[in-house]
Amino acid sequence: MWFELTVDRKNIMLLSLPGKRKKCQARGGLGLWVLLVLGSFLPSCSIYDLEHGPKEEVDPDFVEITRLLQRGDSEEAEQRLQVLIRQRPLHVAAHREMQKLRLARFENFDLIRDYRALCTELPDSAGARYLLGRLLFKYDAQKRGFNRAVALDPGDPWGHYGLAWVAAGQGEVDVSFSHINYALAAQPGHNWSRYLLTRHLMSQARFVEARGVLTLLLKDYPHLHVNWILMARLSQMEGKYAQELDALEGALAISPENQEARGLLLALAKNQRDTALGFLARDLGKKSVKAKNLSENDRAFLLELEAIDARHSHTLRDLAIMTLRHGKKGSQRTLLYGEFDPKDYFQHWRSLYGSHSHHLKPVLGKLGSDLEKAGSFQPRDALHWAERFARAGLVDYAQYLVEHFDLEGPFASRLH
Amino acid sequence: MLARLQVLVQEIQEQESEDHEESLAQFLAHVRGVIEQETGYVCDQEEPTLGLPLVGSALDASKARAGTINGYFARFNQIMFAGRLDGSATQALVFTTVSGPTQVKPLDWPVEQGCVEVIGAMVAVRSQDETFGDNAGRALFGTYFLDLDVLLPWSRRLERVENNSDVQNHNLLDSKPLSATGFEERQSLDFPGSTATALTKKAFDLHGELPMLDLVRVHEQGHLFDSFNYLPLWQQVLPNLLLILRGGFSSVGIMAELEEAAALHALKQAQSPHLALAELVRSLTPGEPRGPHAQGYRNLLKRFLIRLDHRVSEFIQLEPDAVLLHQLHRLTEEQIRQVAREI
Repeated sequence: MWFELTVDRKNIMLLSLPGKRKKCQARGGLGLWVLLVLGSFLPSCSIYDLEHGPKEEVDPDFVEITRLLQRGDSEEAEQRLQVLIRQRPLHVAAHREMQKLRLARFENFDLIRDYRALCTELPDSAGARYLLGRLLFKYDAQKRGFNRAVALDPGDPWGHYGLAWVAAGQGEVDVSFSHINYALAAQPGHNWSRYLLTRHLMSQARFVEARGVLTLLLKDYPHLHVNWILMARLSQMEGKYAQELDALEGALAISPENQEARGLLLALAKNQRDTALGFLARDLGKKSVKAKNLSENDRAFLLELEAIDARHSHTLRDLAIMTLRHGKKGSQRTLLYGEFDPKDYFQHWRSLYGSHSHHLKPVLGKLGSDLEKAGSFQPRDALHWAERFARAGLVDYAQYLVEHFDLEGPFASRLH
Repeated sequence: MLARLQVLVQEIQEQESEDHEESLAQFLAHVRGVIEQETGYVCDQEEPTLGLPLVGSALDASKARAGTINGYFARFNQIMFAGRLDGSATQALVFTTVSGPTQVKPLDWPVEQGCVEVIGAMVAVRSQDETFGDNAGRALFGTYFLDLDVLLPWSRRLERVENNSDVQNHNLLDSKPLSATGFEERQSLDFPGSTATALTKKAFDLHGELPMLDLVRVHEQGHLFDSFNYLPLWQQVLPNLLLILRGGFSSVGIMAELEEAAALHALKQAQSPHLALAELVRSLTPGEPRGPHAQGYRNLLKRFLIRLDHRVSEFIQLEPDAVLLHQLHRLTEEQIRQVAREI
């Protein structure tokens, strides 16, 4: 008999029997005991030894840095990474994040030079070998680097993890499993090895085992959005959409702009279009973009949500109001004048409110006064809008604008 | 009907990946059956097919006679491609024609009659494999097809270089390449780094956009130019034998040779040779190259670098003691074409 084990974001472990509704909750010690018992059932995993917790990846400074990175604050994160690396020159996890930031700036060649220099400077360091190895392109070259790291320090998980990664890339999953086991023997709480293990288990449809490993992963590293996304993917594969939504909420709470999480959310919203779950997914999608100023991606995302749920959402209006709130004048102008045809824009509202244009007028007024407050809505803008509405056949809206803003000129006088 | 065809294509692909026995003719018979069952349209004419020994066979999609599969699809402005590489599963693709068929005559085209260009989109049936799957273009015996469903998202992805920050652009275009000792290191393909992006950026800077449609078009035309070396078979026995030898008697090897020739044509003739080079670099893989494109492009890049190395002293912007791959974006368009012409 299998138990089903989940961890929610409040660190409450939920234990349930398949097919039964009852769940018992366990916190702290009892939860760990349950995990140990579960772990002993799982084949080919000697990894459920919880005595050895994760090391450098949960050091508080690094956790704070990963939080900043996931929120998109890479500038401050980089400064802190530099400080951390100065204090602990072989903090591998910190170096990995630093490498990612520099790769995003296309510093590929400088990185290779720097890490070659580090290897020369610290010839006996397994960490340095690993860090150079992961920058290389060819599997053979990477493998040589990781093997060197393992030879220098078999107790260091990173070299084994690197070899597992290369084996996975070459399609040798069994070899990858064995390297993961070595890595986890060296450091049972190693996040990335457990992450890779979960992915392998998922690819082999070993969902119960995958959930077991992932549950541990989320317990040790609840601050990493990748783990929540993996949980979402696993739940999706198992058809547990409520859990998928919960996991995505976890991921987006950490990293609101994460494109992968948003992509999964859109897929979920589409799948569950007419259910409460679909509604919640759409709601979560909107919330996830409201935390930040609107980017191009946000706009595309909201429009997709809009397409899924044309009847209930007020996304277009939300978009406009949101940009106003954030004082992004450039955006709001693009949004209101450029991106959307006013006809579509107001037809959309019309579809929401039926033919009751008196509902629309306050909305227009609200937009107009907000724009005025934002200092970007000049009478000529109102005139521009009014003309576009008139051309689109929405004469009553055009007339409203002319009256509301007390517009003058030949066009305005025709509408007066 | 199209949904059923998609299922059929997938099923055949899955069955055949275990058992390669189903021929193209059998596949086409299945398709005719589906069309007849679902629509009542009778495909009673012989399907026009073309074949190359040791390579495979394909439905000739440039012909759409009434009573054939493409005769049926032509009524809806659609075209079906189907083909089979020897030793692999039959692949098929159905898309809607956006432009064409148009007669075009590329520069230096050797015969009076031009070739036929078809631009399509809204793919309704698609295989998963490399040959007929996510390719932006396909060339088949006098006709080539450009697939906007693949081309446009690909182009949009690459055009992100437009949004690079100044720091990113500086690193892309002005970074010091890795140093190299000896010709092997100079010609190494082992570490492409950000070379493909640098080349893309250079192409964008020179043209103000990425001429992707042109690149794929010229590549496909390259296949058609190349076909004059091998067709008709009975007149080109020796070149065909040499092709088979060079391809190592495998269909993938032979296709790789053909891809290499088409990519070389693109390097010489494309509006942006930087973009053509970028695609060669982008196809480099961390492991052994798989599939005809990756193999062919890698071979061509290797030959390009060997040729460039011979002339390295002539190009003052190149550092002779550094990896050449990392400096490709420093070449001018004409220099790239010159080197390509010498291959």
